[in-house]
Order: sequence, then C-alpha cells, then structure tokens
Amino acid sequence: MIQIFHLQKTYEGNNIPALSEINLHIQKGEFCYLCGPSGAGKSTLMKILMKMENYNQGQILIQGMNLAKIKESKIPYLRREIGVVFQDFKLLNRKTVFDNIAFPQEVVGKPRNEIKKKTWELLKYIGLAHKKDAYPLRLSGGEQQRVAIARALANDPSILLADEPMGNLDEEISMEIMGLFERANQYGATVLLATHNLSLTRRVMHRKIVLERGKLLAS
Amino acid sequence: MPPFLKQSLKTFAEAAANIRDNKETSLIAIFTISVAITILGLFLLVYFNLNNVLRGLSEKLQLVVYLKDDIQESGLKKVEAMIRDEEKIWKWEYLSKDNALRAFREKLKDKSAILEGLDANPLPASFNIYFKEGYRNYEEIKLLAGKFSAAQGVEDVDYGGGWILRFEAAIFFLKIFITAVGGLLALGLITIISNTVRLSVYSRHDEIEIKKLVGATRWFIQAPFLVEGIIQGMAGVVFYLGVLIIF
Ligand SMILES: Nc1ncnc2c1ncn2[C@@H]1O[C@H](COP(=O)(O)OP(=O)(O)OP(=O)(O)O)[C@@H](O)[C@H]1O
Ligand SMILES: [Mg+2]
Repeated sequence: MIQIFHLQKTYEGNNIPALSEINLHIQKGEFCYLCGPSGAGKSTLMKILMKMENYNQGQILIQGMNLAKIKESKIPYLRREIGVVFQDFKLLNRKTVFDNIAFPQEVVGKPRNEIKKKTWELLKYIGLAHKKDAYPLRLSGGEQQRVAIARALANDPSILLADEPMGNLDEEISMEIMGLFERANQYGATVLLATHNLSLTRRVMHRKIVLERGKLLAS
Repeated sequence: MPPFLKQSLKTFAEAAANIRDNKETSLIAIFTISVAITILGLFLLVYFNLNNVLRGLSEKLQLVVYLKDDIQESGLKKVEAMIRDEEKIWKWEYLSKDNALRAFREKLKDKSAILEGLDANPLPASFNIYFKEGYRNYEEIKLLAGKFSAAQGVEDVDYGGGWILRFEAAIFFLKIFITAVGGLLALGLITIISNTVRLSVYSRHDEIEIKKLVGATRWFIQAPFLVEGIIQGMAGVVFYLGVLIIF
C-alpha cells in the first residue's frame, strides 16, 4: 500500500517543481499505470518511492513506513520490499543471466538451495531457462527486459515498480512482458507501471494515474 | 559450514573474481602499493640510519675536566665523588698525567720526536665525562661544566661549547627536514592509495549502484572491496619483497 500526501519535489537548481501537490493512494494488490508525456515526473516519482531521490514537502507511507523517517541504514530494507524494473535494465553485465537473478537473493542472505530453486522457477517463468549461462549483452532487448523483471521479482516484493518496461520493444514482446506483470499482480504484488504507450493502456485495462508537468491530472 | 564462514568464502571468491575481471586496475593497484611500500621502506631506512648516526655522535659529546698539577689526593677524591654523585653522567674515565702523555705520543706517532727534549710532562691529568641520553645538550653540559670549574683543584674545563651549539642547530633543522619529508611522503602515499581505491570503486560504480538498488547493505557492498584491498596489499608486499631479493 502506497499513500502520498501533498508531495512536492523540486530538483536543485530548477525553479519549476518536478512534482507538486501530489495526493495518491494505491491499494495493496492494485495494478496502476503511471502515464504522462516526457518530463511529466514519472521517473521522479518512482525514484522518490525508492528513496533514490528525496523530496521537499509532503508525506509518503509505504506499507505503513514513513519514508521521511527511514534511517540511512534502513534504506536497503525498504528496497527489498520493492522490486524495480529500470528502463535501461541495469543488469550486471559481468554476471550470467542466472547470477543476475540470484543476486538480489544473495543480498538478502537466502540459503543457497532456495536461491537455486527460486532462480530456476523465474527462468522458466520468463522463458529463458536455456539462456541461463548467457551474459546480458548477448541477449536481445526483450530478453534483457525479461531478466530485469525476473530479478525484480526474485525476492517476492510486495511492490513492483516498472519504469517504461516496454520502452522500445515491439507490440508482441510488449504484450508478453505485460503478461509477466499481470501474473506477478495476480500473485499479490502491487504494480505501478510507468508508460506513455497509449495503445497498451487501452488494450489492457487498469487504473490510470496521469501526470503532466508534475501535476496529477487524473487518478 | 557455519553461515559466517560461508559468507566469508563467498566474499573472498567475489573479490578474487573482481581482481580477475579487472586485471588492469588490479595490476595498477598492486604496482602502486609496492612502489608506495618501497618508498616508505627507503624513507624508514634513511630515517633510522640517520638516527643511529646522530646517537653515535651525541654519545661522543664529552666534558673534559683538567686538573691542576699540584692537586692533592684529597682534592682528586672530591672531584671523583662529585662525578659519582652526578645523576646525569653516563660514564667517565680518569686520565693521569702519564697516561695523557702516552696517549699524546701515540697520536703523534712518528712525529713524537718533537717531544724528545721535554724534561717535564706539560700535559694535565683529566677526567673525561660522557652524558646520559637526555642530558646530551648544551644547557646541561654547560651547567655541569660550571659546577666542575668551581671545584677545588680544577684547572679548567672544556666541552667545545660552540661546536655543541652548531651540532644542536644542525640536528634541529635535520629533524624538521626529516619530519617535513616524512609528512609529505605520507600525504603522497595516502593520496596515491586513496586514488587507487577510488579508481577501483569508479570502475565498478554501476555495479555498486545496482547492488544498492536491490537492497544490499553498506557492509555487503564494501566487504569485497576490503578483501580485494587486502589481497592487493599483500600482493604488493610480495612484489616488493621479490624486488628486494633480486637486487
Ligand atoms: N537529476 C535531475 N536534475 C534536475 N532535473 C531533473 C533531474 N531528473 C529529472 N529532472 C527534471 O524533472 C522533470 C521530470 O523528469 P522525469 O524524469 O521524472 O520525467 P519522466 O516523466 O520520467 O519523463 P520520461 O517519460 O521522458 O522518462 C523534468 O523536467 C526533468 O528535466
Ligand atoms: Mg522517465
């Protein structure tokens, strides 16, 4: 569950706020699109939720945790609750597909055999079991995207943030990837998916949160 | 295997893999560290040798108390007692008139013919006094010299006052110089090593960022670097020792 009250964020050196007067409630298990043109503030909002960026005003509660009150040393534990799919994937290019998916599980100190089991499960889930030993740079864009999604799901996060996960993938692959998010959502994850792909939001119906120039147009 | 040991092994394996994957950076780091150690070693070598030389020199500082020719046995005993009672004295020796002449002859060697025509021994008897560490300075020696010159039966005292002062000034500046060089060297080495660390961190900043984003704790991120640093440091030392053995 995500609750945002009167959020305002201005990047240092800018005079126009990237986000202003944002009030938003997302229920546990909801699937929401975050729409809006380039520069609307979609990435900014996701970075704030991850505590990758701070904000100037307002209150944010994630699973009841007050974001402003989380200590520096507790940030890793917040991030373990949130799986993120970045537009540029951010895979570890020197690790294999398998190790990329295993990695966040090692971070939380899961036992080795559980990591193996879960990683295999995810590899089958994204349909890349045959490429487990490949390195990310040898994969197509859609394959890398799927690895990024598997990694985001590896610790069964309660919240899944995806920043334009179909960036410039074609329609068919976009739908495949959309299916992965749908299933994660069915398993109970709250999904927030940033996109400016209007045909997608028309084909698969979900709640739409629309941002423009840092303001909430609709939710 | 206990989890702690398992984690340590994993960290070690990761550090080793990182070194393998970043051969250039690691080699530069190892080379830098061995150069740094070499420079530090040379500096310490010079420093300790110089210290030894200085100590050797300061051990030679002496106060010579010349005695009058007509000094009585009791006067001699009194001066000797003064020396024995003096805390600051490290060691001393008594040189009788005869011994002084003999020593002088030895010094002149073949030129000792100059002394042939002498019918009386012109050299005075003396006490040669050396000082304990901490009292080998001008002020202390001058103080003692004053005390002895006032004693009965003492003809004169000699402690090379001007020479000691110059010696002390030289040591003073030498110490400042060495401290400055050492300080600069330490600063340089710290800069070099911290830059090497920064280089290795920078070459993997994307990896660090990703680790942070998936919720890795600070310790989890830093441990491999620490282990890597230790491995590189040891490799640097081994390299340095190798060079030492070859030359
Ligand atoms: N690091 C930054 N420093 C300063 N200004 C920034 C920074 N990041 C974003 N901005 C500004 O904040 C505003 C919102 O940017 P943001 O990246 O959130 O937009 P977005 O909705 O994700 O756009 P896009 O669809 O192009 O990814 C923009 O005007 C942008 O210029
Ligand atoms: Mg963006």
